[in-house]
Amino acid sequence: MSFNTSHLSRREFMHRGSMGFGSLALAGLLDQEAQAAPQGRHFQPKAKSVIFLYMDGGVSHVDSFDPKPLLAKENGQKPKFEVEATVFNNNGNILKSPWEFKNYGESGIPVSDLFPHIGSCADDLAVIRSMTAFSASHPSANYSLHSGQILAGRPSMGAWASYGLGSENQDLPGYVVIHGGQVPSGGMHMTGSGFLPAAHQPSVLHPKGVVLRNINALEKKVGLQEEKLALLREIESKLTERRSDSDLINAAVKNYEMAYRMQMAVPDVTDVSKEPDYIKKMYGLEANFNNTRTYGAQCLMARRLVEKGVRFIELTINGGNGDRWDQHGGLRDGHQKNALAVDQPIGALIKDLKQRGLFDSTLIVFAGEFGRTPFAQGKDGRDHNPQGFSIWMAGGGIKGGTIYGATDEYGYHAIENKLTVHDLHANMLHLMGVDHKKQTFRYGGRDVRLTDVHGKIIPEIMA
Amino acid sequence: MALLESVTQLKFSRDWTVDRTMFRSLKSAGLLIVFSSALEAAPEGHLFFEEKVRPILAEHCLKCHSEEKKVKGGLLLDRKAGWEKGGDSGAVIVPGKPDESLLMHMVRREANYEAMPPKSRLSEEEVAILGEWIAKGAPDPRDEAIGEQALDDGFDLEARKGWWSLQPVKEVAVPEVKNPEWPRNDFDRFLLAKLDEKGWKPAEEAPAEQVFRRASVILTGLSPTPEDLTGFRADQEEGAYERAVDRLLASKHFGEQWARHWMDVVRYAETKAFEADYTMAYTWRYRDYLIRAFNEDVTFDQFTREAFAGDLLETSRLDPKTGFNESVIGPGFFLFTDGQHGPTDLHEDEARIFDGMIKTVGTAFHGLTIACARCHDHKFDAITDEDYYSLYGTLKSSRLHYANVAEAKWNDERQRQLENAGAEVTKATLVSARSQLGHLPKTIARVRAMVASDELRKTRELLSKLKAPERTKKLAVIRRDLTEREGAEVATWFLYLALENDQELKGLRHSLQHGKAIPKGEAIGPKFEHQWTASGAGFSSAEKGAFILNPDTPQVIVSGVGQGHVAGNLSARLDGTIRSQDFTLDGSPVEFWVKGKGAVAVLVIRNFELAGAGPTTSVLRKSITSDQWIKVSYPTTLWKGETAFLEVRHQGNLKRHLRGAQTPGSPSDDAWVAVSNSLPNWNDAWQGEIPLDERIANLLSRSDLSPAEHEVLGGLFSKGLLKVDQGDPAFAAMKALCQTIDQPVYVRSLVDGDEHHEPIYLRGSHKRLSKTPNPRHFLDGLGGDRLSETGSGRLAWAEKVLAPENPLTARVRANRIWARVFGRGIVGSVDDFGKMGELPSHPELLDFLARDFVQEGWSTKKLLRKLLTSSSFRMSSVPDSLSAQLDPDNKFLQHMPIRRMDAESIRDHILASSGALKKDLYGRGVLPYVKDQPNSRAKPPTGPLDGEGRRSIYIQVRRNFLPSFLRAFDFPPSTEPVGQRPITTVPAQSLALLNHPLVHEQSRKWAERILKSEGSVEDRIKLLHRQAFAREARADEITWALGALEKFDVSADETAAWSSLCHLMMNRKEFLYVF
Repeated sequence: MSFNTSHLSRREFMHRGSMGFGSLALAGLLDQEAQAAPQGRHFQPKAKSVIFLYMDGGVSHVDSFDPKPLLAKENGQKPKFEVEATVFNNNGNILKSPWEFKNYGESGIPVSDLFPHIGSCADDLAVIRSMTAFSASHPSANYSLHSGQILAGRPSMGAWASYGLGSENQDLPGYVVIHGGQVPSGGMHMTGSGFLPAAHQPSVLHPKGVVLRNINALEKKVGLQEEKLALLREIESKLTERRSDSDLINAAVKNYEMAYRMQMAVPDVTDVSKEPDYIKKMYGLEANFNNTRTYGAQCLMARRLVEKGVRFIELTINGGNGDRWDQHGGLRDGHQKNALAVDQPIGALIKDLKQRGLFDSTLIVFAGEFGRTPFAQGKDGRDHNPQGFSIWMAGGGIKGGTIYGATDEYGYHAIENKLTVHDLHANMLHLMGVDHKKQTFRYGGRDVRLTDVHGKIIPEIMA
Repeated sequence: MALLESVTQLKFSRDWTVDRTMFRSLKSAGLLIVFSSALEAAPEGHLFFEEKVRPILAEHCLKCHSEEKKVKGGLLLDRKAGWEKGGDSGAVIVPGKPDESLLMHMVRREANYEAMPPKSRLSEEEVAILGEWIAKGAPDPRDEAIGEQALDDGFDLEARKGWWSLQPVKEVAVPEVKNPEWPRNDFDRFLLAKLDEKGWKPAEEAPAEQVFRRASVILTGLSPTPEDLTGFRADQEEGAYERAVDRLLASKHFGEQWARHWMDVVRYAETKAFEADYTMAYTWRYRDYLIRAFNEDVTFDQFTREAFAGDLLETSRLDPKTGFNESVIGPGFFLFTDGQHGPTDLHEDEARIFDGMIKTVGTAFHGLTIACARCHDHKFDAITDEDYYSLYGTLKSSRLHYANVAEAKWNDERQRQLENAGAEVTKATLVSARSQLGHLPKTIARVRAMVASDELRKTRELLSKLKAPERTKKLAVIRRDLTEREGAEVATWFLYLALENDQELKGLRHSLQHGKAIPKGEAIGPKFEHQWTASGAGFSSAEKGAFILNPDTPQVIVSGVGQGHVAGNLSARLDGTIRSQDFTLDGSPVEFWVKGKGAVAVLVIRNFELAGAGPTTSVLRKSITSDQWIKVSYPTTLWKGETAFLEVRHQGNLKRHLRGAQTPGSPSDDAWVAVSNSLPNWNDAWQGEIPLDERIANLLSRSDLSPAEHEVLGGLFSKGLLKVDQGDPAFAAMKALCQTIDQPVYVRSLVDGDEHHEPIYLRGSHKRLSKTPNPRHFLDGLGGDRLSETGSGRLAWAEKVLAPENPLTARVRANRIWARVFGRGIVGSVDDFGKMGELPSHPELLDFLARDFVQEGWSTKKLLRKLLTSSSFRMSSVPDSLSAQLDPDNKFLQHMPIRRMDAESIRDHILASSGALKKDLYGRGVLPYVKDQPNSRAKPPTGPLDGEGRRSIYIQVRRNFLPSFLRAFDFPPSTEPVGQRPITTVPAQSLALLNHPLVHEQSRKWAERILKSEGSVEDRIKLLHRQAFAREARADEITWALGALEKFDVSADETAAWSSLCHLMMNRKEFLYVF
């Protein structure tokens, strides 16, 4: 593996023009130098693939990974600390967690009863309890979780990963979003490529129905599409002979070969029905709750994509319980249903990757856009809490059984080792072998980074 | 830069006492610190520091807070001056007051504070020592000053100003060339001279029809149709190609293509992204404005003036067809901003939104990355953070305004006619009402008798027991019975008494019920102190009283307004908006009086546009539907300290953000609104023991009504207590006159607000503002002249952009045009002429081009004609092998580049080939086809697959739902300015052309169209090629197509086979590439 970035102008053309879907393969087709890595790695990666489990809406940290006994003690009392403006500004009294916490594994990491399956993997997790968000509103916080900026239309971390590393598989895209059905607040374009070339747009896969836009041939007659492609190849070969000088034309013609292979590969890799029954059961594909089945299928698809070398996979949740993790009211019911949907599949994903030897080369990140307030909104909800919340990471390069950072005794503000999304992104890129300070794209007069001018690496969570 | 904060207050007034140059030099020399602790601590304090404090700092703090290591958070703890200055979060130590010192909160690890040190914890003893030290006054012997290095940000404006693009545009001589036969114009000579230098020869001339297709796609975005091709071939005379170029320049589709380029640059979109993806009403009119402007070849200097200040020009440019105001549409681009409805911090939100505007202005007109100077002076270019906040101040002095372009047809003469007609109607109304006075005493007497007989009390009681639907039913029965028994007039008066509770006529009700005047001295509501400024022809001052007239209603006088500002009183079609001055919210409610119909009142905080939509901001927007004065009251506790202004929009419901596919609707002819700081004391009108009928007769006959009497009389009409007979010709005359007024046609534009100068945000934080003034000025790199214009200063800014000594504007614009023609700019980075951009490949040519552009009157079409008729443009796209190797990017233009059509052109060409393309211009956009996009609350209903056959430019640009087909071919994200789209080549494009339902649908349509044409199979194949590629089919292509039809089993299903062939044609490279 070469970690150098080539600056030949032909390469420049490649990376500006033809990266993304099977870009390595395309580079190979064009100049027989298959290692023409897109932007390239800077050091040996710990993780080949990333699975980003996006907990849309904001999981309550004080009800999941950051127990605060003081909340039980002061339950129902007026907060003794200064309360900052919230989105609804309907702030009530201290609200204790409706869930009990247990210490799991050798590390004894406390996890609430919301997540027994994830809890059972505690020794694999690095729980970060000092995450902060740039905004208290969903769209801005979602945009920044994805792109580091509270702006719409900026390139997402997945797009940066694709821009930096492309895909390992020539028949599959490098960056995939498996869409559970709930469009995050701010729109699906938050996962987009922004000012990076459109090649780094995610391929949005669906666990039900048409798996990927335009992936299915519409010809009803068997063999008709193949016949068309053969005829096309015949007539276009005359063009490429005539215009052998043009990379643009040659690449455009070759794209059809790739597109055709993708038509085969994508439905195949995403078809979870081929999995053995015990695997399906493990992921919750036979669970009673419909959302568990959907999320289970998403997690299983994610594992299959990891096996094929897809670089960055993001999972959005499903909205079958009526809402995301955004319980401004009815915390108990809403969080319980959301947890029921994701807990078993995520636990299965970790265990399945382990039994296949893929866990150590796959980085799993579990994060929402912010946490929730330790005091109530109304009577039984919680408002958004960007000042401190929990996320966790596991797998490739992560030191399991770790707790990093802390919030204050109420869980309101991160006070120790406060992190921002820039830090999260820096560490994700780092584990993928990319120096977040070196991966840049010239835009608007600057060599722009995913992490802007910020981001620090956290040795404490690294294996 | 953080030092600015501690500057002593510099005096700041309209005639700036601080010279900007002096300010800059003070700032860069770091001389702005004026800070010293007054009391020197005693020596024993120093001992305490040395023994106890210094070791703690050394062990726990200096790793991150010393000049030697790092300066985290802008804080130095390695010297006294360091903590005295404070860090990014402000002061850390307040000598003598440990409990007010941020440092103590942090080391104690209190809630709401960042814990320090982050990774270790001070012992209780150590915390106590620090507390004691601060309590002692924080004695500190370390007296080194903060180093020059830390002070000086290394920004040298004069050195930065030496950058090539800021130098004057030179007058350059046209170079000599080796082959004088080849060039057709001077641009060719510059290019050829460069090739001569390299020893390369320009590529051969391409076939005429190929060049024609090239020209057609560049100028109109459309591939030539077979008819166009026939026309081109028919002209065999000398200059045929030049004439063809002229025809293309004159085509109505020219404007569409060139408008779209500009839409990229100003990040055109119709929705606001974020959670709800709100539609900005009327945005599409800006797109139409651009199309007209490019078609009419509005010169770029005029275009620029309109963009910055079209609302402020002395003479507006009018659309020759409609007579509407064009200029005022220009500033609309500023506000193609995104937006969220629930920000918790409106100042932060404003800073984010303005940043986008500043980025767009910098990119579009200056070719500079001004937005890079948000947090500090530009890292590379001659742009200061003062520049950034100067522009911020300009934007903050401007306010979003829905302008009525039809108002341009209004004038003083028509205004006088309307006022006269209104006066006549008023007169006729009063005369008509006077004729009823005869039977009024009887009616009043009868009503009083009904009061005396307890009928009033019983009726009220009966109705109060009933709820909505039953009550209405019962009321109708009562009215019918009363009318039968007592006649219509008595019924009306009695029921008015029974049901209403308005303020103006309180005296009337009192008199009816009690037979005497109301007691004196009841105060009427509070008085407020807003200064209002009206925009639009609709508003007038009602200081002497006004009636809201509407002859389309039975009562004609809808309301009376004693004092204040009023719109819609003569015609709802004369529109307006009224705004207050800026003020700072102190946390108490903001209030004023208003009445009207269809109007909207908004408290605009920090220019927040989506007021009314979000959870906390929903209280900031109120609909007004009341013919009684109501006190609008906005709670402001959440926004204490923010700046705001009030805004009342006549026809307010039409001027707003919308959800999904909502449309703003049509203007209503009965909208009106009145705004006032105070109310007249109506009770005055009811004083004195005068019989009611005499009082009314008196009101109807006097011409000197007081404000209160105006409102009372208006009330008598609006309640139907006085009836109007519209027999007089004055009524019909006014109705007819009102019909001649154009309905308002709205565009999003700007108006000037209060003159405002924004301080600098230290390190870009809206929570840390410099205390020094930052007077508005033009870019420091271009002279930095002050802009002392009142209001926004936008017009003065525009003049600076266009000043002859500004070298950037013409260079940037001409280079953009060049890039569209030759595929690459002379400066490759068309949006960035700064140090991070590319250097010009032909510097002399660039200056020659810029000069020529200005000399030719900033005409886009004249420049394009020169470029497209050059020899260079007619070169073939086949490179010379040597140049291909040495200049793979073709910077020196040895040959013409092959280009892929833009996303829009690809879709348009598909529709044109199938015959589905409609070529009509303008109008509200078609909803995008979004069936292939995930569902969400913000998703609009899907538009038709074929976009109703309209050109792609007419598909709505909804930021959260961009058309996937276009996006696959690099349609921009539409959130940030894009001067040059990246052209990618990815399998997703092949998949779209192979499998998108649009392509299949149009293949079939194309087949059906072909099958309707006359001629043999071969003729049809030839036609197919002319339609697809604008050239004749080659023999091998005909053979191939015949074979394909066979394979597709043409004899079994002719349409299906031809559909497959058409599908293949759309997938051929020549379909979407231009050679």
